[in-house]
Amino acid sequence: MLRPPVQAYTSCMTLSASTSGLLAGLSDELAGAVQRAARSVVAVNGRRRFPGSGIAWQPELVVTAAHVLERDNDLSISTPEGEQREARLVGGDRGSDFAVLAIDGGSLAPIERAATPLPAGHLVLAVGRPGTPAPIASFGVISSAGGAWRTAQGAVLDAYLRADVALLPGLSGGALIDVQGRALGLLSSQLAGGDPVAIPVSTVDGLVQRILSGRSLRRAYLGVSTQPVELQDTLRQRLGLQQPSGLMLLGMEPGAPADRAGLLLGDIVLAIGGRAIEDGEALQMALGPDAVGKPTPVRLIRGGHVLEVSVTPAERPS
Amino acid sequence: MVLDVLARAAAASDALAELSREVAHSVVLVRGSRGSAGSGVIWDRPGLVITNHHVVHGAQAELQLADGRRVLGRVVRRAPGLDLAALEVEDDFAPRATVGDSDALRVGDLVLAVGNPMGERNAPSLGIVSGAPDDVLRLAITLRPGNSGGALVNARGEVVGIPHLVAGSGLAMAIASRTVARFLSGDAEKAEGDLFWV
Repeated sequence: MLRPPVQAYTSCMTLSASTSGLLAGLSDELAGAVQRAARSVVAVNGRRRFPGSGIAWQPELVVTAAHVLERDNDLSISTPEGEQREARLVGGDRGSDFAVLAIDGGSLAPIERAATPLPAGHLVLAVGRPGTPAPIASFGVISSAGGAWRTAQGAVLDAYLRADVALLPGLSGGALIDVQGRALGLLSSQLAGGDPVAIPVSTVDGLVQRILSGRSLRRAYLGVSTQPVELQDTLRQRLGLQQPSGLMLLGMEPGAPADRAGLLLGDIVLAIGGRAIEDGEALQMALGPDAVGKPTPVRLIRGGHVLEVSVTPAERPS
Repeated sequence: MVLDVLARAAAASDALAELSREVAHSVVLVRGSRGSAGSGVIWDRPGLVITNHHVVHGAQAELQLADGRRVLGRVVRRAPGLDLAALEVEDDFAPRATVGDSDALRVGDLVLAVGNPMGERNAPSLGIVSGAPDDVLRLAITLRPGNSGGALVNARGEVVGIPHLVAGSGLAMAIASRTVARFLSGDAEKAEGDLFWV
């Protein structure tokens, strides 16, 4: 049953001045932050689909997500001014979804970095430029920030940032920024199985240094297969051990670093480089790129006794 | 200092609540003849409600106001290609929206959508403009069915779009207010070819 209107209105919607001012100010700041960061966010042309994004890290260097590059040659970027420049792949690592490009002609505006990382709860924006003249952006809050982790592709990175920003197509390789437009991290849609995650700027700096100095990002490798085993109480007491478990060596690749160092099937690994190894995850974390070529003490139980063997991990074969 | 920060966050929170409340006065629930439910906006001229074409199928629809009153709206114009429909009502029955300039939006600007998703009345969602404004606005915002035809406002409470499509997780599209203006002026006729008066 429809009733006739009881009151006529002539006015439009009214907002209090304080509300209008506060929200308009916040909106201006968010749009301003996007604009500031976008001066250093470029489009990366390296795949058949629409381009991905990249961040000008130095006047002649762009960092991006490795998965937006489907080829090693015929790469280019589009600058915020719309200029197309040739790009050369300096190096990268699929496992870290990270790549560095050298840009013909340089003179890009490096992005301003946030001085300190932000903890969970802070407002953030995600900024990219997938070949569009204007940047694209989404926003949210930092959900978590943490230390060393293994990516979905198996690489080990020393920190991460997670945020609940919407993953717009083409945002990978772009910047996660604070509300003042300063970079917090490099965005990837791949490292965490489809959830947005960012490699923090300090970690990006480390990766760039490693690539520029010609070192690989490939992880270290021992050539063993393992199984976690519980250490019985009497054994732990006799050997004075705290840890509840270790990793037993069940398989050994002939000629691989573990074999060459004299490790034997049945050895129970307790620690690598002073770091307790209680499960396979801990072993993976101990085998980052830094471990390659470095003689490393491996503490183990053999025949009921603890001994230490020096192993030099090699680069993981592709 | 902590208190200062909390006070600012609380002020922003209060401001968003006020914005949601005020915008809701100009948003109606649209019930089409086939039982479909969506949203509509009381536009900036007397007796005019704008919604999506896909929200109203028949020649008329029942409109439910924020305060629960019901009135009948007659479809006076449609543009299926623009996904827009205009309804006429007998009286100037509720506060009209202030219409804003969608071309003035910048990437990163705050936007608030108010509609009737999944049967909830006047539910606000907060987001930002995610791409350069055009005839269609790209948004980073979580919308659901029933937000269609409702109001998308800027931080000043001006309607800058009509949400019409969920484009993915946390992504949505809205018809820009400049497109609505074109629709109402009749200039859309040539461009779209499928605009008609009913």
